[in-house]
Amino acid sequence: MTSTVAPPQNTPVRAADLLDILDATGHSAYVGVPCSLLSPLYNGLAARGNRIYAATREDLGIGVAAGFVLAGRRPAVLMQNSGLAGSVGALLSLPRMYRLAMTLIVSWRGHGPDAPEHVELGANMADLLAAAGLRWLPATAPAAELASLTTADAPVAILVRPGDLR
Amino acid sequence: MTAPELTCASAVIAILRDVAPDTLVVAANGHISRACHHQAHRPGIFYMLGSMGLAPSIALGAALARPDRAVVVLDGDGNALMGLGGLTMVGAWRPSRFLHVVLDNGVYASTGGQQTISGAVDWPALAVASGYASAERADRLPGLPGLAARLLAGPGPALLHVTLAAEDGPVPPRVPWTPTEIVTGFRASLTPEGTAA
Repeated sequence: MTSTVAPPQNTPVRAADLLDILDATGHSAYVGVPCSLLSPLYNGLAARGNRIYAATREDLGIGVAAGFVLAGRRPAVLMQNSGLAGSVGALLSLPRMYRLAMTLIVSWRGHGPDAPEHVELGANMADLLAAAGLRWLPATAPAAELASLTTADAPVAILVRPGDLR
Repeated sequence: MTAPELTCASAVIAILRDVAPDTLVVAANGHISRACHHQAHRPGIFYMLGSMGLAPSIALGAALARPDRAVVVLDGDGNALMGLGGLTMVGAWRPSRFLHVVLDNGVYASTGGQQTISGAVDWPALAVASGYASAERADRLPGLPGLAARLLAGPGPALLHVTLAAEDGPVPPRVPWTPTEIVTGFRASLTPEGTAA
């Protein structure tokens, strides 16, 4: 299968602006497994004094986030798309099944030319997001749409493609 | 050494009898959740139906959000092995009033009793090597009462490795609640009025 995914058309969003949206929609706990595309968010959160709890695997991070939700918080979980692929079972049988609202911030490696290990998944991300039952928007979507997405009563995702964050 | 006499249900009953009424509890999927709901239900228990391996992670999130509450994880050996990174996260983030119970029957009971690799694992040593502040073992009912309370009162996080008897009695019924009812029931215990009497 050949797949050519167009590079992002939208203007890059400032990491600080995305974090402002998450603040405004009540996100108060951050869990993550790093990705180079997400480093502006890691740096931005550190600058604000927000701790990012370092999970050893993305599905375990979703578990921690579920615990935060059960105790009344709204968490965000940062991860690479490869980690989302490894977390589908946990997503469906934990936040989806119990309706635990959390925001996944997922990098989209393999969106356009990338290292070989990212190409297959990068070309199939829309199918993966559908299989995981996630409503999603790119990080460059209008602020009002992102705010609406991240107040949903369900797990949702914000996708960060190469060049989306500055 | 005499053979272990503890069943999943008798261990869960003894442990929960021992901890404060406002303790938050995460019960791992499979027979642990079932036995817990059937024989030891009380407010403040999150019954996992799936997402095997995530019990300590879920409990960790709840503990970080509610440091005013003690948290107990009723985990299984197969469960703990599947999500072993969760144990290292508990050891690294060190919630202080946190008790991780590994109910070890050596098998995947709800799928037909296939063996786990738990026999090769020294759970208390693993926990301490991963950053837990304390760890104990129990394999007889007389040794169990008081142990959970003592571990929760001491430095945390703590692990309690409970060796269960090979024969576990009748299979407990499934948790009869919907996922939404489980969440609602757990959240009710987060207010002072909603805790176990």
